[in-house]
Amino acid sequence: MGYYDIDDMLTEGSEVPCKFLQDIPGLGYLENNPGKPIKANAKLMLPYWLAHILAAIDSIPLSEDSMAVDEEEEAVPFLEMSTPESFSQRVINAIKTDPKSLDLHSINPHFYELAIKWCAIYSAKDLAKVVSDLLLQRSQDINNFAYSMSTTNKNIDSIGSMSNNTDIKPHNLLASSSFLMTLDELEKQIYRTSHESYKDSKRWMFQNK
Amino acid sequence: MDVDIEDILAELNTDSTAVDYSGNNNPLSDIANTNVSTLYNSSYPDDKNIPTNKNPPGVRSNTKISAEQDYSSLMTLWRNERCSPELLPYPHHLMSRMLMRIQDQLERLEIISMDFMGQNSNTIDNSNKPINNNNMLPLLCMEAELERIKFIIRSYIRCRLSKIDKFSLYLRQIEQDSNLKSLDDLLSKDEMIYYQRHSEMILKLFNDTTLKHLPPELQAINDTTGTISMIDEPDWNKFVFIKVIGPNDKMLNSDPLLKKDSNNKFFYEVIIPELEEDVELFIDSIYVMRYNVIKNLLLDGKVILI
Repeated sequence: MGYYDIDDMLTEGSEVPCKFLQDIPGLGYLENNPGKPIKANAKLMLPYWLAHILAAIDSIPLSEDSMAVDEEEEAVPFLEMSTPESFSQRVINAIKTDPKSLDLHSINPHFYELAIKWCAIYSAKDLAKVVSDLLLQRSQDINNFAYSMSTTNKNIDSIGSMSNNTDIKPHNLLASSSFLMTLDELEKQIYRTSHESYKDSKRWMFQNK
Repeated sequence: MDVDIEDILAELNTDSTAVDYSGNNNPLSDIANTNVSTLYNSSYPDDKNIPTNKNPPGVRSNTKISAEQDYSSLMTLWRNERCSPELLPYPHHLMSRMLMRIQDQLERLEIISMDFMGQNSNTIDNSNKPINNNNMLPLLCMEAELERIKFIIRSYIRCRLSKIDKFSLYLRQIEQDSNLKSLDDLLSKDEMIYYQRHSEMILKLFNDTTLKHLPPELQAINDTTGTISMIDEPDWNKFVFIKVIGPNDKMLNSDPLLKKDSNNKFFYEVIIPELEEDVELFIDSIYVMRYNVIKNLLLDGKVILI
């Protein structure tokens, strides 16, 4: 996950429910009423890139009002992140029951990357286990769908353009496309690369060009 | 009673004037103590382009350099470079030899094809009977071979250039840290020029379009103190496919890293630091392994990437 990674930026844009622990003047525009202070215990959705740094900073006093703030208050971080909807118990249970039929894309298009970040800051071992199991289970299906491609030679060229990620066979089309809609962005990338490589090797084996 | 005379036979089989195999013949580490001009001389008699070996066998050089050997080590380097996440050191001597051979071979091809032109014009004058002793097949083979080698080198260099693009900030960090390895080992002269000019151009573009509008403390392009480090390091934990080939001289007993298991098989023992797990890499087998675990073995040429 590099600095210029576009998927990483999109991941960090996803919103996390947060609760403020301090009164902060001037930050009211986060609540859509600028000019007013933000109250302690105010709950609002913040993008991850903002929330995780505000949740981490606690003892660093702001340079301007370091005099004004008491010593005790400085130990409290600005806000507290609560578990996002993507990792709520409901979703975890759904993952545990049937990983393959889960519609991950509707839960969060960048589920895995957010999960990685979440596990990293809170060192959530349970979540890490659940998510790695999920990826393992789903990768089997991804592999199946990436492989199941029409082996008849004449069709190989028609799926040459990867703009459509779906199978060309009609009876596979429904199953694979509905499955593909449930993939999250990381899985889509995996699917795309593996499908490409299967397709290329098949083309190399069965077609002499 | 069985008398094992393998050793004696082996001694008889090795010609007394043969090449000294115990020398430095690791294909991945270049022979550092010989400069390019002596390499030129020593590699020349072994060059496959020259049909007869003019030197008597006694005065043959000790280092094992041949066109064939160089080609196979180039292939290994090419595969490693394509699969590894980091930029590998540039083989200065090997590449200068290869480029020199390509040049030679090009000239030779031209001379031979000029001969053919002369032959053809003569035969047209005389009669239409086919020339048997001068067929075109060797010429075609030489041309195709040259194209193949040129393709490998091109692909190799392109791959390196794309990595230089990707890691330009990281390379700059290496450059500034004097205690790390120097960039001259890592890059060739042309790559160095490319790297410097290209990063200058990128910096200029970023500066002119966006960075100059930002507050001064946000203008650095290689800021590592923020929430995300702006310097893309190579993914040291990338999983790669490796094949364990063992030491290059095939002297399994002389390698200090090699160990023996109960079945008399040789293996390297590596430790995966995150899991604190020992892994035994047996010779001639294939593994999927983290890159940073096998990095040292790769640089010593004891494993190859596939």
